[in-house]
Amino acid sequence: MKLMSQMKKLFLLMIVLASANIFAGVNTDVAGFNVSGLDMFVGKHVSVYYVSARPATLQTPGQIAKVRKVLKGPLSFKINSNGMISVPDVSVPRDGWTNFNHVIFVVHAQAKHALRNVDGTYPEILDVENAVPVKTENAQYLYRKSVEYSPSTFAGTLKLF
Amino acid sequence: MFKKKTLVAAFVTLLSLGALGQDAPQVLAYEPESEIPHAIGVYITARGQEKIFNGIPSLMNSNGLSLSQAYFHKQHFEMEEKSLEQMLPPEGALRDAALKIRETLQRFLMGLDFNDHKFAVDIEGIDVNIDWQDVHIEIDHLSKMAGKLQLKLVLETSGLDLKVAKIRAQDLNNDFLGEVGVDGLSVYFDQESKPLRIEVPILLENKPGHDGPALSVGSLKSNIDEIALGASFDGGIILPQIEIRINNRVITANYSELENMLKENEEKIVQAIKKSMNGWMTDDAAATFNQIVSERTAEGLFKEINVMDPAGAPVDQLVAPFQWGIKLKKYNFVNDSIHLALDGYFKDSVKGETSFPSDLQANNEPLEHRVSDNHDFVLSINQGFINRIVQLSYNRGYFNSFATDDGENYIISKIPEFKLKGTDGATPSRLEVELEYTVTGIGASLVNNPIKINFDMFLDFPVEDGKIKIVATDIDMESVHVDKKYIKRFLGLMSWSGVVMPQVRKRFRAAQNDVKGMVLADEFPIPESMAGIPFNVIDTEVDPNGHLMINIDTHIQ
Repeated sequence: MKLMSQMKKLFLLMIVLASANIFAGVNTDVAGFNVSGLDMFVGKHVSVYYVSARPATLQTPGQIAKVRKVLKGPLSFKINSNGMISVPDVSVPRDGWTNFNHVIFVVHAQAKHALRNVDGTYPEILDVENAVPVKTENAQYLYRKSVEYSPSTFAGTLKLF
Repeated sequence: MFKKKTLVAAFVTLLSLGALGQDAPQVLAYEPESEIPHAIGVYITARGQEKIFNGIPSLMNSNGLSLSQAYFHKQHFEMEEKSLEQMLPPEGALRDAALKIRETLQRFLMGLDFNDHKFAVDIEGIDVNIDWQDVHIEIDHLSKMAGKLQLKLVLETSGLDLKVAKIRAQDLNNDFLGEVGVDGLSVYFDQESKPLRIEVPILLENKPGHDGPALSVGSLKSNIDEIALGASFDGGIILPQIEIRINNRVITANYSELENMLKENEEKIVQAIKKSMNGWMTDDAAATFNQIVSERTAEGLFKEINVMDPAGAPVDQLVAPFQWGIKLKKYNFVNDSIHLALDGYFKDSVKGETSFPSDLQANNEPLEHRVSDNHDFVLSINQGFINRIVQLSYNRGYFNSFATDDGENYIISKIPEFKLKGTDGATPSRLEVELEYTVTGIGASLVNNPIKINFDMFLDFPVEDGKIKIVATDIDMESVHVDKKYIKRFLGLMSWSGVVMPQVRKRFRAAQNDVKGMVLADEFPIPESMAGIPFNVIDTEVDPNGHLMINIDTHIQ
């Protein structure tokens, strides 16, 4: 009986739970790319998040996908005088039953940024190495955009704005 | 005085989508001002149901979830602190034997005292891969006839592979026992196994009040007892180090024999896994799921808030977005379609609260016979939703004035209003406009500048290349009007109306041919997809109750 009970819990664990803090080799490799169109933010910072997200039910122009989990990031870059940043190759891990499906770009004035959803919730964080402390001042931003990931969209240069 | 290009300039600016920018961060809650009833209606036709019900994995993937693959990096699980007596069954041979063994060991061996047990399990690298042969949803037609949406999710696979890199268990209250565990545990389907089939009953029930329908799951069914699973340990087995010293001789446990024994009992382990999975599915899964759903939907099953770029915003500026919210109010069946009715609102935190007259919205749902069965979906948009966007953009000042190339200045002096209510074959939809204009030249002496000209344009919503255009089909000449207060009186007695109005109408009549077919907006701002379902807009109709009905097909891969 007890064995059954423990096995049930083990099975439940496998099915339901999803907390994590180490990484393994079950990743999506995202080739490096450039982001342009940031001329009006020269000198500011961009934080790039590789996430599992649910797009808004009504995909109206400018909608922001609700991030379920940050799988990798934020990787932060300073916008150069040409209004561009260069994002290096990144390996995005899997986690639980979630998929990597969106990349979130956030332009901010402060040095570090912590992602907060439109409804005020904070997503789960898998990448504790790059995580920024969750504080209101870290969640400030000037502009943000979510882009659905596909290798072709992210090949070469992505014009953000 | 009034040129056709003024119309073009005004309405293209009014209705085209503006900058993608947004300003300061906002944390939003579902806090409607002027909530619009049946703001959006989603009608999933029989064709659409067929596509959705057979496209579950793809839809989940679009929403960032996988049904086929999962990877859990590290799990830590602690059980409650319990004595051996509490851990054992309340009666029976196992209990008697275990307690007897403990008593005997403690009687003859000194220092073998146990604290109450508190087990912790660490599991690393759980890799699940499932090759689903079939995933689909079936609708219960008897329930449908009774107005209830009862569904059954069916999952079938004969390819399951579960690998666990490392499992470790320890008793936190009895450190000396150390760790036990295994490396490289695999559980998989035997080749000759029957497919595993799981059925999940799902019920959506309308509830009284404002929180909309409730979702619940019934007891799962599976044939897990009939499937053949295999298991193996690729790595080592970790066991406590046991030594017994008799005088100077140390007697150790035969670990390789223990490992062999464990491996020889793989079949029993597999049976235990199957039994626990079956028990979880039949006894616990529905309750667990329903509890999670209940906790997460305390304020309604579906409620969402997000942002949208304002219509008509300047393209070279970052502007704060509008906020929108929608919530599922109810569902029902319209002909063979599942109809989801969503209330919703738009608001603008930049300008603060603004009232929205209820006569600008449709207060009744679309007529049932207007819902086409010939496509996958019909999306209805309440004219109030459209008018609210126009109102908020107007209040931002994005299109309340404009200048034409020849230097004429015009002001849209009143929020334009879409009028879809009452549309039928003989009565087209309208856009009501009021322009403010300063008359120059000799005509200026006849009016009280600036004058306001009211008129309606007839509208059509054709679809080209999957985009809905807003096209003016004509000017309603009967509606062209200048209020008498803007027209002077000759010697304070006779109104110059008889001179001014014919001139105004003459201008409009001259522009009439040019207005016919004029594209006011290249793209009506409707969602490109919904919940990950891509929209391919086929055509539109206008419902007499005041909704734009958009017929949509989809392709779910």
